[in-house]
Formats: sequence, structure tokens, C-alpha cells
Amino acid sequence: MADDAAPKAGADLAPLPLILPEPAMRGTPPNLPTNTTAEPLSAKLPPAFFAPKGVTNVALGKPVSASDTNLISGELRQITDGKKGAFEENVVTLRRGLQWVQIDLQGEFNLYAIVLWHDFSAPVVYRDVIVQVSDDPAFKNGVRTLFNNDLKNSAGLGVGTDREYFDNPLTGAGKLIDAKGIRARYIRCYSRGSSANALNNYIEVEAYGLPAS
Amino acid sequence: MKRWFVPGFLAVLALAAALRLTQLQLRPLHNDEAVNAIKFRALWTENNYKYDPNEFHGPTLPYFTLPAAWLNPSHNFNDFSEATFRRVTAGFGLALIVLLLLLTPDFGRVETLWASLFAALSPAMVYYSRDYIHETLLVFFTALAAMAWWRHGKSGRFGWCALAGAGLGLMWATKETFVFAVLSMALAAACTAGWTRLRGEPCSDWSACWSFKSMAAALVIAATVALLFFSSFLTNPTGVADAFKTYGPWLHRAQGVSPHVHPWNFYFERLLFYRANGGPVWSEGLIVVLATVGFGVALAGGGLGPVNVALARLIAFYTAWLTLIYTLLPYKTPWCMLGFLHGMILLAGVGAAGLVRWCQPPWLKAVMAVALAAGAGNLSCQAARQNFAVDKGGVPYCDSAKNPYAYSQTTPDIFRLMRTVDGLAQVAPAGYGTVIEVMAPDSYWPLPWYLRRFQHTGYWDKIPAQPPAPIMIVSSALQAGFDQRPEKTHLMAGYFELRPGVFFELYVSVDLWAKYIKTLPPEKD
Repeated sequence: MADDAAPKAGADLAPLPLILPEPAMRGTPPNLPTNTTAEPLSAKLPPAFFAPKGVTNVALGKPVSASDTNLISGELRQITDGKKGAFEENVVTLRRGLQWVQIDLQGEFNLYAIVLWHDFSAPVVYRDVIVQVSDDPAFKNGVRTLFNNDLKNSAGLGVGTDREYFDNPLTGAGKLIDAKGIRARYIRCYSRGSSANALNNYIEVEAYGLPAS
Repeated sequence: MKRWFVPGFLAVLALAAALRLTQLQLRPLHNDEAVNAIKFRALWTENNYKYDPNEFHGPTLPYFTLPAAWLNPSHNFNDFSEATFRRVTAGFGLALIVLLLLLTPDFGRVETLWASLFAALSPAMVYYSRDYIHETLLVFFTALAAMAWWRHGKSGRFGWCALAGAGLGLMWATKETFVFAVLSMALAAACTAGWTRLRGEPCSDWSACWSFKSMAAALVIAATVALLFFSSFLTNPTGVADAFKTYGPWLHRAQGVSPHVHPWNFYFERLLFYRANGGPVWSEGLIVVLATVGFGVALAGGGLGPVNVALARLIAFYTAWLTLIYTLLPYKTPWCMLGFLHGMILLAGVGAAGLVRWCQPPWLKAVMAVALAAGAGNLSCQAARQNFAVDKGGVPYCDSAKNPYAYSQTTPDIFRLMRTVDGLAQVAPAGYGTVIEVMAPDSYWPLPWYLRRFQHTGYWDKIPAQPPAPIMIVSSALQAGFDQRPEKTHLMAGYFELRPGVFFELYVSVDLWAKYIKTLPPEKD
């Protein structure tokens, strides 16, 4: 079981070496979406996430593919280029509807945290966010779901029991998903537009892990 | 004027009916309306109404709801709608206008027409006629008692005395605040007598009002009527004592801390110039200004035309005292203004008719009449907008904080919540027997009304220790997080705003939710 590698009490843990981008906004943002299950927007940073010492962002610079071969803006490689500022030039935009981006870690890793930044220049809720990992690049076999807030199963990947969340411009913290040490090579992230529009935007995806032994 | 009076009055009534009786289901039930509706359920389904001296006001509202329930196509309580209940108060709102005919012989036809027009179109009168609470009934019974008493004073006939007594009894059995109206009437009678004497004017012809015998008879009738209602028509003898005991809790409450404590200008702000949250400006200033004119003329005693001077002064002093009392009371809710607003409307009738009458030559009369009619037209536009229109954001004004009379109003989100919960019941194995738990540290009303079809609904002020139910509606203030528990049995299906700033979370068992979403139409990208 991949979960065997999950950090346990007493293990040699340290705060995740996560470097957050600058917040995109200060003060109270106007016109927050209300038709969401997201917790209210907060300017408070989430507590530190602990992972085994030595984890690094194993997605940095790794190849990215996507369901949309005709991007509206940006290039897929930007999703793992380490540039996380909420600037227009960092935003990769995929077309409307359910779309995914996939990262090939080019090897198997024990993953402890996956961190997602959609466009967080405004307080926006991205819909049907699903994060899966697999050893199969086609995601047909051995698919494991780490996060799913597709409440109505619109994507057909199962009913999501996780809540929606704000891509938070007040903190720039992104969405951190506990991967529990799962072993995988490929990461796939789905979304279906946002509370702002039907498009799918990404700034960065990071995956913190250690090479699988 | 004589031949125009009847068609004119009927036209006003038609306008009033159009504003009061249409689209009564548009606005979700307010907290207090839902409490009243659920109180009625015991009377309707079990013939078991017991007056509660601690809460919920008097018994007239549930008893006068019976005819509306009988007239409903279905007699099943669960099939009743918001409209079923609001027809009761809307009916009393219309009857309040008809009641003006009792005064016409001493008030004048033109004055009656103007007053009836303002009563028909006053946004506050319209809004609260469409609200299933006690206030419209209290104003109606107050007017009935006062007008019948006036007629008795003029004619000396016992029938009017008995009607006035019945009106007084019904006031008592409607709402505890009837004492303010009675006090204002007594003070108005004393002030009118004193003012008339001070001005050295001849005594009026309402002497029968002061007859000890008449007063005693009216009081006996009032007590009989009231105690019949309080005792649930002699089936609940403790209700008689409770009718008096109620003033203990209410006095205690009036001295306590309350979210309804507001500054002295609370009512005037709403009547004269109200603008909130970027909404439009609302004003019933026309009625207030004309009432001021009417008040001045009544006290001066000249230029009143057909209006009986004593009657005009009684209305003027009554309105002034009642306005003062409600202004000084720290506890304020906007519907409480209806009592003195009705007095203002009568005075506005005197003022409007006077302004037209005093204008010379005839063309100026016409200009004044048209200007006043245009003002009345503006009132009707405001009333229609408050009850039927939506703002730029698509929010109905009848629910919006932009409306001066929508006070702690339930938001339309409750309809969205109920669509989901009803949809869940359709797929749940137990249907409407599915267990629902509602948890809220503060008021969860009007949820009991909207969940009335569910047979197993429990209410808690905190998170209970027992295992979670398939459906849970939980105040966000409790930060329940049922979906974040490790067993992952429930998901959070959405936030719902019950009242402005009061949010609830809907938790549903994952299995039930999975069945439910299969019934939903596919989502569009």
C-alpha cells in the first residue's frame, strides 16, 4: 500500500519547504461568489504542513500535457516552471468545459503534498476540481483520487465529498492536498471553469515527494 | 360628489385588492409568520390551541385563519402555502379600508375617498397586509372599536356600543400592545375635551361616549369576547389567567437587551426617507405631510368642511399620542408603526380634502387634486416595487434589505434549500420519513414550516452526540464540519442564507447524495 509511506507520529518530519507567492490582493474583496461550498475567504495563512524531511518539489520543470491542445493563453510548461506570481504572463488558460492538465514526474515518487494555484488574482472558486495520481499515463489503470469536489459528479469520476475552496488572493497559499505518501508517477488535475467564467486557468502545480525506493 | 363616491370607493378597493392579494407566495415566510403558521397547525389538525402567555401574541390570528383554511382547496395542513395564511391578513387589510365607511357620515365623502386611497396604497400598509402577523388585525380591531364607539357616542344606540366592546375585546385578544392604543384613545378623548373647552368652543355631540352605563356594557362585552378567545372558547380555563399573566414576561422583555432596540427616529426614517445598501429612495412623506396639515386643521377647528371637529381632533390626538409612545419605546419593529400610520392616513385624508377645497379658483383646485393624485400614484409605484419587483442584481425587493419594511426577512435561498431537501426525500428510502436534524444556536425559523412534510425532524441548539442523520441543516456558526470527519460519511452540499448574514450548511450522507444527483439534469459547461 502506498499509504505505508505516509508520515506518522514520531517520524522525522519538517514543515513543507513551500515558498508562497506574494498575495494578489489586500483588504476585503468585493462580490464574493455565494453559490459555493467553499469556506469563507480568510486572510489567515493555513497552518504549516509537515512532511518527511528532504521532500522537494518533484514537479518542477517536468513535462506537462493537457486535454486541451489549443490553449487560449500561455504554454503548458509554465505550470511547472516555478513562477507562481499572480501575473497575467504566468497564467495558462485552457478552454471551457471539463479540462485537465497532467504532469509526468518522469519517475515514481512517494508524494506527500500536491499544491495547486489556479489564477488567484481575484477570489475565485474553480469548479469540479479533481486531483488524481496514477502510474498509467492514460489514467485507465491504478487511478487514485486525492481530492474531488465535484459534488454532482459532473465529470463522471465519482461524487466529490471535498469542499470547494477559494483560490485565495489574500494569502496566495494555493490549495494544498495531502497526498499521504502515495506512490505515483503521473498527476492529473481536472477543473470545469470557475465562479468567474467558464475557462480553466493554471498558474502552477507543485508536488512534494521523495523518490520511491 | 355623491354619485362618484361609490364607484370611486370601489375603484380604490380594487386597487387595494390588486396590491394585497396577488403573488402572495413570492416572498418566503418570515420567522414570525412561520411561527404563527405552525401555531395554527395545532388548532387545525388537533383542535388544540392553547394561549401561551410567554410568546406568540394572542389567539385571534389562529382563529381567524380558520376560514382561510376552510376555503383552501386542500384541507391538509401540508398543502397550505404562504398564500393560504397571508390571505387572512390581506383580508383584514382590505376590511380596514371598508371600515372607513363607518366614519363617512361625520368624516365627509371626499375625506373618506382620500383616506381610503392612502390606506390602499401606503407601502407599509400593503407590505404588512401581506405578512401573516398580528399587526394588521390589531389595527383593524382598534379602528373597529374606535369607530363603533364614535357611532355609539353620536347615536346612543346599544348596537354600536356592543360592536365597540367586541372590537376592544378582539384588540386585547390580538396583541399585548393593544394597551398603547387604548391609552392613546383615552388620552385623545381627554385632550379633545380639554382643547375644546380651552378654546371656548361648544361641547360636541358625542356625549353618549361618556356614559358610565355604556362604558360598563362595552367593557363587559370586551372582557367576554377576549376571554372566550383566551380560554380557547372555554376549553382552556387557564387561558383566562394567562391573559393577565402575559404582561409580566412582556414587561420583563421590554426592559431587557434586545436586537430590536432602535433609536427614536427608527419609524420616521422608514416613513420619510429611507435608502439602504445602494437601493432606491423610499418615502411615505406625502402621507406624513398631509397628516400634519390635517392635524393642524383639526386643532384649529376651522376649514374642516364636512368633517366633525371633535372627530378630527380625536383622530389627531390619538395619532399624536400613539406616535409618541412608539417613538419613546426603545423596542421597535417596523410593523409596529401601522397603528399610528393608520391615524396619519385618516388625517392625511382630512389634509388632502382640505387642500383641494381651499384652492381657488377652480383650475387651481384641479391642479392640486392632480398633484395629490400623482403623489398617490407614486405611493402605489413604491408599494408595487416593494412587493413584486427585483433589483438590478435580481434580488426581489420584498426580501431585500433595501426595502424599509423587510426586517430580518428570510431570503429566497430557503426555496433553493427546500428544492434540494425535497429532491433528497424523493430518492431517500424513507421518503418524508427520512430523519432530518437541524442544529442552530439561535433561531432556525422558518425551517419548521418548510420542513413540515418531514415526519422525523429534530432541532438542537448544539451538535448532538448521536450519530449524524442522513440530512442535517446546520448553522455555520457551529462549524460542524461533518464532511471533514475521517469516516467521510457526509458531504457538505452547500451554504444557504436563511436571513441576511445567517448561514446554514446542508450536510447529506454520501449514499443519499449519490442517488439524488442522478435525478439532476446534466450540467452545462
